[in-house]
This record gives sequence, C-alpha cells and structure tokens, in this order.
Amino acid sequence: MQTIQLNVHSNHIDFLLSMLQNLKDGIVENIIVDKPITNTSVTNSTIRLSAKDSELFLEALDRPPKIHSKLKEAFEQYENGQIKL
Amino acid sequence: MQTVKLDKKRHNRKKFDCDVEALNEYLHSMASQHSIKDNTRTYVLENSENPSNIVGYYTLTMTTIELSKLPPKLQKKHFNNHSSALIARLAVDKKYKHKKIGSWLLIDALKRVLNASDIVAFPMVIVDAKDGVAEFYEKFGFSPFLNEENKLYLPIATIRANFGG
Repeated sequence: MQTIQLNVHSNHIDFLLSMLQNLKDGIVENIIVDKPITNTSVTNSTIRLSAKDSELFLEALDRPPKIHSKLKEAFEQYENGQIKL
Repeated sequence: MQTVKLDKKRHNRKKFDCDVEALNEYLHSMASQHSIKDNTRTYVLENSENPSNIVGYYTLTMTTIELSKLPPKLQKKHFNNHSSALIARLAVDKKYKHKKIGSWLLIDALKRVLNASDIVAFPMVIVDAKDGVAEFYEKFGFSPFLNEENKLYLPIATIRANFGG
C-alpha cells in the first residue's frame, strides 16, 4: 500500500478519477490533495481520502452536464416556432 | 410544425427524395415494416398544405453502448447500463434543404428520446452519422466514440440540461 500526493488542477481530474478508482479497489491506501479543485463542490485546500470516502468523492467530482450554445439555441428556436417550412 | 408516426396509408413515401439513395429506400420500403415489427419507429414531418407529402423523417430505436469506446469517466458512470437510444436515420427532402429543417428534426427526436428516458431509463442517445454528416451532430454537442468518427453519442443529462428539464 502507498500514499499518493497530488497537486490537482482542473486538467488533472481524469487522472485523479483513475487514482480514486485505485483507492476504491484497494491498490493505494491514501490520496492527499493539497490544492482546491476547481469546478467541483470540493473547497478544502487539503483533503485526505480513505477508501470509504472515495465513492462520495467520485460523485462530488462529477461535473454538471455541459451547456452547448448551439443545442440550446436550436431548442429555443424549436420551442418558439422560429423555424418554418 | 409537428411530427407524426409514419402511416403508410396517409403518407406518400415514394415522393420523398433526399438525394441519398439508402435513406430514400429505407423510407419507401422498409420503415413501415420495421415499425409493424416493433423494431424501429419512424416519425415524419408533413407538409402542412399537403399532409401526404413528407418533408423529413427520423427513425428511432434502441442499441447497445460499446462501453470500451467511451471516455473512462463515462465507462465508470454507466458500467451497469449498456442500453441507449439510437437515431438510426434522419433525412430532409431536397426541396426543403437549407431551411434548418434538419436541426428542427434533431431537436424533435431528442425531445422524444428525453421523454422516453423518463419512463425507461437509459443514459445516452447514439447517432449513426452516415455519409460524412458527423460534423452536423458535433455542432449540437455529440461526441464521437473512440476510433469511430461516424458513431456519436450525447448523454441524456446533457439534453436535459440544455432543454431546461
């Protein structure tokens, strides 16, 4: 078992997710995150995770669905009847 | 404008021409049979002045998600549900090109899929983008599967978020 320390930025989240899976699977024992994680509900500057916490943390990292301007615009045009034959 | 289920007694399928032979042929001779067998559902947009004329159509069915071709995060999220809606075909008659009818039909199809997912849960909609129309779907947020440029997916959660559900 080992402890891994991560400096987490938003572009590392996929790596963090795989590490969390390792934590959940018992491959690593602890993960220490020493910076805030952007775009999530996690705001503590230092987080120590145990396997027990990993599943909840994975859910916390689950980013909200993307808003696509083109999709939203097309939906609004549809709803407003702006497209006609 | 609204779509209705294809009705072979009401709709003049033979007059439909989108310039893609496979899509014409499907509507002319297969869509109705597939629907009778409960394999697919085809919805058509009628010409309001002459409802027997079909402006465009799309076909919906279910398919299986190839989890290994999704990003790792989605693989983990949906490991226990391999079912997905499939927009198998979507076409517009050539007389109505460049009027955004394709976009309108796509939104109509996504609304139907979203409603269906509220009743029987599934996590995404997949599209087979035949004849190099993948870019059309990518504009609306669809992402290609790994190593399959013409097969794209859009999570139901994304549709719901963008449609204000």
